[in-house]
Amino acid sequence: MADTWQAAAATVAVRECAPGPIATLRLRRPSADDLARIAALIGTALPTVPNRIADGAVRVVWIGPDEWLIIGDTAPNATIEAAATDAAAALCVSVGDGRCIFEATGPDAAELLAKATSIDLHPAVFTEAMSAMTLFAQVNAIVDRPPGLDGFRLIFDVSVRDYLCRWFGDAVVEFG
Amino acid sequence: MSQPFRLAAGGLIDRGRPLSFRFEGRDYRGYAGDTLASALLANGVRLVGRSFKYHRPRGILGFGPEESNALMQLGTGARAAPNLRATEIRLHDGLEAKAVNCWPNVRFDVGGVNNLLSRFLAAGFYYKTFMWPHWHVYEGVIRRAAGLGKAPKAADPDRYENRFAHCDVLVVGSGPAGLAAARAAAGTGQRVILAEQDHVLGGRLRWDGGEIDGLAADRWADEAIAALGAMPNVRILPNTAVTGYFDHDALAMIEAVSGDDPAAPAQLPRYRQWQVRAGRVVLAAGAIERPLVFPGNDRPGVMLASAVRHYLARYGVRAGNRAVIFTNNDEAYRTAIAFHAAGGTVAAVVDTRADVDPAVAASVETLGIRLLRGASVVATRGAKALRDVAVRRADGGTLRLACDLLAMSGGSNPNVGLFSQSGGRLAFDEQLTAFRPAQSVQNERSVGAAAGLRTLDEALASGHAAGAGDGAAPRATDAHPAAEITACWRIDAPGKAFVDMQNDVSADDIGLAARESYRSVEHLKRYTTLGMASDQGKTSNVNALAIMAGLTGQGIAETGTTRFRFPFVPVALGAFAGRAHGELLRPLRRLALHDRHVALGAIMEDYGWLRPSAYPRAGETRFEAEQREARAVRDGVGIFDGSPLGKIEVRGPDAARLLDFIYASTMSTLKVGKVRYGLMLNELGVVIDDGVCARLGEDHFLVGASSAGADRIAAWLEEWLQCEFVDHDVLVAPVTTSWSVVTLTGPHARDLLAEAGASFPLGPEAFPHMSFQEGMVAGIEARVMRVSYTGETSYEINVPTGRTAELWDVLMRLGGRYGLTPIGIDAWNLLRLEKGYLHIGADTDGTTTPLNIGWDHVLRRKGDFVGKRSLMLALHRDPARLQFVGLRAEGTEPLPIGAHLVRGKGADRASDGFVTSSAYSPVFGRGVALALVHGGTGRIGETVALEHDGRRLTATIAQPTLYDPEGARLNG
Amino acid sequence: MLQISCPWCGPRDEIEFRCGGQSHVIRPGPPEEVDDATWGRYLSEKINPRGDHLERWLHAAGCRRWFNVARDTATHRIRAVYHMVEAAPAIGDEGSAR
Repeated sequence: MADTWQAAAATVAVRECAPGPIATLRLRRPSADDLARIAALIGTALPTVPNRIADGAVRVVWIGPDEWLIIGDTAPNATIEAAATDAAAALCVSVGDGRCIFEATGPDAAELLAKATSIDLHPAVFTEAMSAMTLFAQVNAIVDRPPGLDGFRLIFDVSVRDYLCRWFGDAVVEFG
Repeated sequence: MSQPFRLAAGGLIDRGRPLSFRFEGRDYRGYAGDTLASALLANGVRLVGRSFKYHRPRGILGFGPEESNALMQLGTGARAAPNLRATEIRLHDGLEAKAVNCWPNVRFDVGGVNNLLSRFLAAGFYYKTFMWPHWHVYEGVIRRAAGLGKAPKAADPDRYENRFAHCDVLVVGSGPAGLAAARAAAGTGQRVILAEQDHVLGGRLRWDGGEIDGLAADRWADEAIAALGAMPNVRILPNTAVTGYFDHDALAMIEAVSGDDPAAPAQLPRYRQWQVRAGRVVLAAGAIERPLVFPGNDRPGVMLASAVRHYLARYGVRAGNRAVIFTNNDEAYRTAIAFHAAGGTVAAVVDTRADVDPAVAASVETLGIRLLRGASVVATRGAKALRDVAVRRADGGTLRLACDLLAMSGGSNPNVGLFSQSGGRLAFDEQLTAFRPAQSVQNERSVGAAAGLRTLDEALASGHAAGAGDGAAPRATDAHPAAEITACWRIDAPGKAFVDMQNDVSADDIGLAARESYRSVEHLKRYTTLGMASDQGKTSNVNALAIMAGLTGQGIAETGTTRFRFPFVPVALGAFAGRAHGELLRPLRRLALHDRHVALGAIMEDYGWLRPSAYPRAGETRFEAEQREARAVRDGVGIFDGSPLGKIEVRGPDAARLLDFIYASTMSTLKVGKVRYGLMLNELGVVIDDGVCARLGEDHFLVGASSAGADRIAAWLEEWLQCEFVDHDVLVAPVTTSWSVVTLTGPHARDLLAEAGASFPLGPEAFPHMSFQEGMVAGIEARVMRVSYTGETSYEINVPTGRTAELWDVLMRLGGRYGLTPIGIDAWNLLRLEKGYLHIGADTDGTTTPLNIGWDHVLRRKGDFVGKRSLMLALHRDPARLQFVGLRAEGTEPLPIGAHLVRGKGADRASDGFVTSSAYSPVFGRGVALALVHGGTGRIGETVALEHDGRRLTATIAQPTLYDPEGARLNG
Repeated sequence: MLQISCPWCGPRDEIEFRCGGQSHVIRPGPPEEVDDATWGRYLSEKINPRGDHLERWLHAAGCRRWFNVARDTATHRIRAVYHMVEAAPAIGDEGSAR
């Protein structure tokens, strides 16, 4: 099922990607040592600036001032939680089964996304390695521009996957 | 077929591409580049519509969105489009148009009898005549008689799109001021959007002459547009009308992409709605000429003077052979000159002013055109087209002038609609005799004619300045001087003088409104319908309020304008919907097992999620399926997809403290590995959700919410943590869709689960009711809760969503010997109803507290919780309050949901409660129900009367738990 | 369509947010020590000024964080955006147009 759905037009293509392992990590009042230990454990520093993604051994998306999305194979959740020894609370849970991921690429990728989201996707504003949580065609989405990709990656709740396949399939029609 | 009014040369039309079209059943020819209006004029068609109320014959008045008369019905069937302005319809080959509001056709219109009755149909006629109580009788007749075009009944087959956009500068209008602004802004590298409602850019530069920086105006426009088009930071949008100006510089635009051109590629949308967030906005929307208000000013052949000039230059169409120009200002003299130059005869220029600037007068008199100073047109004649006009001279004498065209000009109104929508304040400019922008509220600047500036040079300079660019502004090297004007709001002469042609509002109607005290402009508008419908008073509003000002003795500024509203031009409804219709109307959520349910023949219905309501077998009704599924649970084992149930991880040293506050019962005393049912309230004490909470560890809980409450409750916990308990060390993570839930329920549930293989003991002692196990089921990581919504032994098996199908298939394969039956929502509801289990939102509403549903003794005594103080109010403890009970119907027929228990007789008759859930119970062989009944707990066993839709029913009040009240089956 | 600057995510359209009404409301308690009138005021009596209003907003479709907004209810001018735990700022005549 995953990795098979796609829709393409002359100037834009959308394809679904297998979400793989994804974990939500929340830390309450972590110390710098906590963050360093977790960074070492997962091979990627947690971005502390909003609207950013960090790429390392895994990809980490900033999704809140105390919250990250860790995308990729990494240490068990409990191990990551245990590394935050100084934090007042730590929570790391798997959510990959609850997500679906699409990539929109090609010269009109930004035009396609602009049908659905009101955030400014101009390349000078929404630069590489930026990310945003927003509304996309009425559903919550994380939109980011992974370095090296000629377009955007979008993360949604898995329950709206079918709706989005229909939405994308219909949205690309205009691009020939 | 010839086009008798087409000039031999000139105009932005392609004479090499002739087009055929049909209007009112007759065939005509035009050219590519024409509008329907210019092509009709080229063919000498004068009569193009019937007025809204009196069905008076009407001709083309203007040349853009201000057109009030030439309203067309295009297309047929599902593609029928009503009330389009002929002035905005681009001609295409095979176009078929019909005038609106006439039957059987525009030339012979039965409704024209209204014109004879017009003395009875004055302003307010409908309000005064068709009054309660017989409105329903009149309504149908009125709606048929007084309508414009006809909307299609079938679904719209066209595509519509939505597009969000951002820019540093949005320029509205591409005339001289707009182009100068766009050029200046774009030159500094800013992101510019230039929106033009016409398909040709350049606005007035295309038809009103002048010379800029040594170039003819239209050449200068070509060069400016080409330069802008080459810049990557500029987006030029022709065919795009800016329709709304909202808060924080958000604007809406409608782009006609394929518009109504049937030859456009099918994948293109008909319209695209743009939602723009602009850094700043330059309003260069120009001005619209005003008609003069005199008797007979609505006769076909009476046009705006600017429109006559426009058709000449833009389309090479001379709108008549012999024209009279009627004006109160200098600008219309240019129409006389242009008409004369195009080979037409100008019978006279009739100027209301006694004093006309000698140079202006000479400009026509040297051409041999007669100028009548201090004169007015007081009447027009001609059945379906203008034949002659009567002119009252300065000396009081009258003369008749034969003509087939009357070009009138009462001055110009700056297009202040968007400015006014932005919140800006208008001022009345006596010199201009019009309202112009005075004080901005948002980040916009009006320029050119839209700012009330009167010359080309001022337009260019203001545009350039608003664009905030470098370098010098373009200069007009040859242009008309500023046109002088003397206000003339109404010609005093007998006869029907129209102010609003689209709504048939005459100057006398305004007088009537004033006499009847509808003097505020907003009252005037509603009373007379002035300024309503498709043109929104673009040509009529200022004349109307000036006439009202004259009647009341107030100044025009004090009288003010009506509020300018979105949208500036009419918008096809499909453009607002975009692609959000049909299956894309809203996101319906799907289960991981969706395809499996469908394969089993499930009826999938919208519960926010698409869920199986029942799985009818061949030949089985939905009701029969529900009954069979419910019996299977009582006798064997059922399998239910409960995946949408809310699942929220709550973790941290203060987790128990938070949950004690959120739930109306105690969670801190829950033992690890145990599960407890709880209610959540709002601060009013009203139940907002229920569910089970599992303690996974000392500081780790899994909060269960109802399927409908999953997202809401996760947000609720965050709200309390972030806004109230900022010191609590708790973290929350919703995981609802990461885990799917397959529930086994029934006497054989344990047997089947054991057979599937569980990594933990399943016996009633090791894994009792209301407890939790984490481990493996059928080789899949699982969290299993022993909770029940059916009254039977149940296991809610949570597995990672990606592996749900695997678990389902194993259970379905092994379940055959136990009669494993998939259970839909219908049966699920029936089972919980027999058991008296609450369904939040069905058995409760926005007023139901725990004290209505028998929770008096479950509420936590110590400490605070959400809503606790509200429950201490006396009103919630009234013994006669609504209380949750069961009902047994007399017979097999279920009681209708919503049926009321009735007490008292006559005037004392009152509701005594109502049915909240109901079904036929196969266990009891009768209708059973749940209800909220006043003082219900103390009335068990009482026989009560119910009413519903005039029917009378009888039932007996019972305990809510009808089935297995001791819970033997639950705990087994 | 207002444009609201989420203190974390930056300027976004109003549709991404939910307004939670008046901010800086003190919840009375414990319940046994609160009289009916005080509780009633807490539940129902919210100020409704024409002009500056301090209110809570949630960036529901974004970072899901609550924050405070000082908004002029007549002009929608947003004078300040600040965190939940911060005190209300002094509102002068100067402020952001958005």
